[in-house]
Amino acid sequence: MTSTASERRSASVLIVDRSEETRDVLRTILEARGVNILEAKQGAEGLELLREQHPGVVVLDLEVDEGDSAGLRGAFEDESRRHESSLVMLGRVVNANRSEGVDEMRDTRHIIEKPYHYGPLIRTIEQLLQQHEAVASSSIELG
Amino acid sequence: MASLFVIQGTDQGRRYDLDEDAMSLGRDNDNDIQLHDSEISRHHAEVRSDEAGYLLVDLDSSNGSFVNGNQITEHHLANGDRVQLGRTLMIFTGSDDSSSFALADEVDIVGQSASAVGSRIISSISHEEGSQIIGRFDESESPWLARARSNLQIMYRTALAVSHTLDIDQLLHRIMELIFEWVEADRGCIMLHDQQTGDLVPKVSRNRRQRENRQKERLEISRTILDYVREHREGVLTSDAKDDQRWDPAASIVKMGIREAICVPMQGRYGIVGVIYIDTYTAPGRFVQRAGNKFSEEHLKLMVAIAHQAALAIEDTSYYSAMVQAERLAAMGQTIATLSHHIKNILQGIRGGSYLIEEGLKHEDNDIVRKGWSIVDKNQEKISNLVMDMLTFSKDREPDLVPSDMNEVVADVLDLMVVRAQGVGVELKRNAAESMPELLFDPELLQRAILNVVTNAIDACESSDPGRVIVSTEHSVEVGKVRVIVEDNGDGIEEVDIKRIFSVFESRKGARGTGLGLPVSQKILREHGGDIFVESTLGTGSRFILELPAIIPDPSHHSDTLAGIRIE
Repeated sequence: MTSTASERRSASVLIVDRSEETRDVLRTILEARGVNILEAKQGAEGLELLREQHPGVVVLDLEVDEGDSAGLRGAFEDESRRHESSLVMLGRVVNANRSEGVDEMRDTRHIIEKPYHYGPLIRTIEQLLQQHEAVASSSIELG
Repeated sequence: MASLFVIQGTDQGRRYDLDEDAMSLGRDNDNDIQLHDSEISRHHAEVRSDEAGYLLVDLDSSNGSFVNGNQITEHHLANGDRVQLGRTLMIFTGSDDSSSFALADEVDIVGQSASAVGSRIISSISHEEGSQIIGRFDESESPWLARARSNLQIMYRTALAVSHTLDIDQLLHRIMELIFEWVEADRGCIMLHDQQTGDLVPKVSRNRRQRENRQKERLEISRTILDYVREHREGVLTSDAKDDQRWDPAASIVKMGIREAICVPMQGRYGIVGVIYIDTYTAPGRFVQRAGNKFSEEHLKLMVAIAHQAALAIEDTSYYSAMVQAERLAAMGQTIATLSHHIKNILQGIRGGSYLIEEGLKHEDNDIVRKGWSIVDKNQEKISNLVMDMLTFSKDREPDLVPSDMNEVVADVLDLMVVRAQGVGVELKRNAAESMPELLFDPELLQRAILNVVTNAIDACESSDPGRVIVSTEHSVEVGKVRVIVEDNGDGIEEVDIKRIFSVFESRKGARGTGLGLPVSQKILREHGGDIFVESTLGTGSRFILELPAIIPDPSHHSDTLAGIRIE
C-alpha cells in the first residue's frame, strides 16, 4: 500500500442499499459509535463514492439495482480491492470464487445472506474497521 | 434452453433445464436432477454438453438407460428423443431451432396483390361435412366391401371418440361402448398401467349378460393372457382357449371356461399403456355348441387398431395433463418465490427496527427506541397490506354493499398515506366532488383498491421535483357512475407496460413492489361492476380512473349485494 493511499483512507463506512430503513438502522448505530457514514441508494452512486472517498468498509446490498447483480458485485470487488476497502456483501452470491490473482489473505470480501441479523453485521463492520485502522496506522509508521 | 420433460413416472410434469455442462440424473439427492423412482440407480446417468449437442451417458446403472426404446451406454440426444430411466420417461427438447428459421425462409405469406398466382376459392366444406367421408351403404356391393366399409366406419368413429375428449375415463367408456356395439362380446375390460407400480389397473369394465339379467357378476380375467400380451406386445385371439398350446393347461382359462377371447395391447408411441380384453363367456360344463366362432382374425386386427388409437389418445392426454401440472408447478413456484422475497424484505425491516429498540433500551436513548418502533410499525403495516392483498386476490367474494360516502373513503386513504408522501417529498392533494350522495359499495374493499393506486402514484413521483399526487372524486348522474381519479406527475408508463401492469406479480417498482396491488384493485373494481382505466404519458405522469356504478341505497334495506340493485 502506498502512503498516499493510506492517507486518503478514513474510518468511514459506505452503505450502498436502496432500502432507507437499512441505511437508517446502520447509520444510527454506527454514528452513535463514532463512525463516519457515507450513503448511496444506487450502485453507480456507491461506486462513485467508493472511488472518491475510499471508505474503510463498504456494505453493499446486492439487490441495490435491478438486474445484473454479478456485474455490480464485480465492479465493487474491483474498486474496493483497488482502494483497499473491505467489502461486506448482503444477499445471495451464486458464484463467490475469488478473482484470479487474489489470494486468501488478501480476499477482504464478506458475504452475509439475507435475512440477516443486525448484531452480527455491526460486529463484522466494527472488526473490519479496527483491522483497517490498524493497517493504516502501521503503514503510516512504516512510511 | 435444452430440457428434459418428464411425461411418465413419479416426477411427471417436471421440466429440468440442462443449464450446466454436465448434469447427473439419479435417485440420490446429490444429483443435479433427482428422480424419485425406485428403479433408477442412485447415480444413474449423466447428460454432458459438447460441441455436437447433449450426450446422454449411462453410469453403469442397474436397469440401464434407454433412448427411443433402445438401451444405450452413450447417445447424442436429438429433439423429441424419449429417454427412459427406470419407470421414468422423459422427452428431450433441444434448443436448436434452426430448422424453423430455414422453413421461415422458404415460406412467404403474401397479400393478394403480391401473389403471382391468382387464386380464388372455388369450393368450400365445413368440418361436419368433411367428416362424412364414408358414403351410404349400397346393397349391391360385395360382403367383403361391406365389411371393409363397416371396419372403416368403426375406425372413423374411434378416431372421433378419441379426438373429442381430454378425459381418460370418458374416453375409455366411449371405446368400450363402441366395441360392444360392433362385436358380440359378453364381457370386456380396459386396464391401464399404473405408472408407479407398473401393475394393470381396471379402468372400465362391461358385462352384457349382467346388464340383461341384472345380476351382479364379478369379472375375472386370465392373468396368463394378460401377461402374454404384455410380454409379446401382440394381440391374441383365443378360441376354446383351454386347447391353445400357448397357455399353461393348468392356468386360469380352464377354471374360467373361456370359449373365445381377444386381448390386445394398447400400444402407444412410448410403450404399452394398457390392454383391452373382451370375451364371450360360458360357464364350465355349460358349453353350447356354436355354428362358428364369434371372434375372427378380422376382429383381432380391428381391435389392435382401436387399441392403438386409444393408446395414442391416452398418451396425448397424459402429456397434456403433465404440461398443465408443469405450468401449475411453475406458477406456484413463482408465487412462492415472489412472496418469499417480499416477506424476507419485511422481516429484514422488522429485524432492523427491533435491533434499534434493543440498542436504544440498552443505552437508554428514547430517540433510537422511537426510530426503531417507527420501522417496526411501518413493516407490520406492510405485512398486513401484503396479507390483505393476498386474501383479496385469492378469493372470489361478493362485495358487502353498504351505504357509504366515497369522499370519506378517499379522505381516509389520504390520511393513511400522508406520512409516506411527506417522507419522499410528494405533495398529496384531495379534490372531492361537491355533490356526492351516499352510495352502495364495500367501503373496506374500495379503500384497499384506492390505497394501492395512491401508493403506486406516490412511488412513481419519487424522482419528480416536486412530486404531486391529486386524488379526485366525481359523480355523474347522467351515466350513473362514480369515479375516483388518481393523478401523478411521475415518470409515466410506457404504452407496452400499461397492458402488463394489471398482471399479477408484474411490478415496475423492482424489489419494493409486490406485483399484487394493481391486480387486487382491478379485481375489487370488477367485483363492483366497474373497472380501472389508465392514461399515461412518459415523462409527464399518469392518470388512473377507478370507475364503478353509482348505486343508490334502497331505504328499505340496510345491506345489499349486486343482485337486484338499482343503478341510477
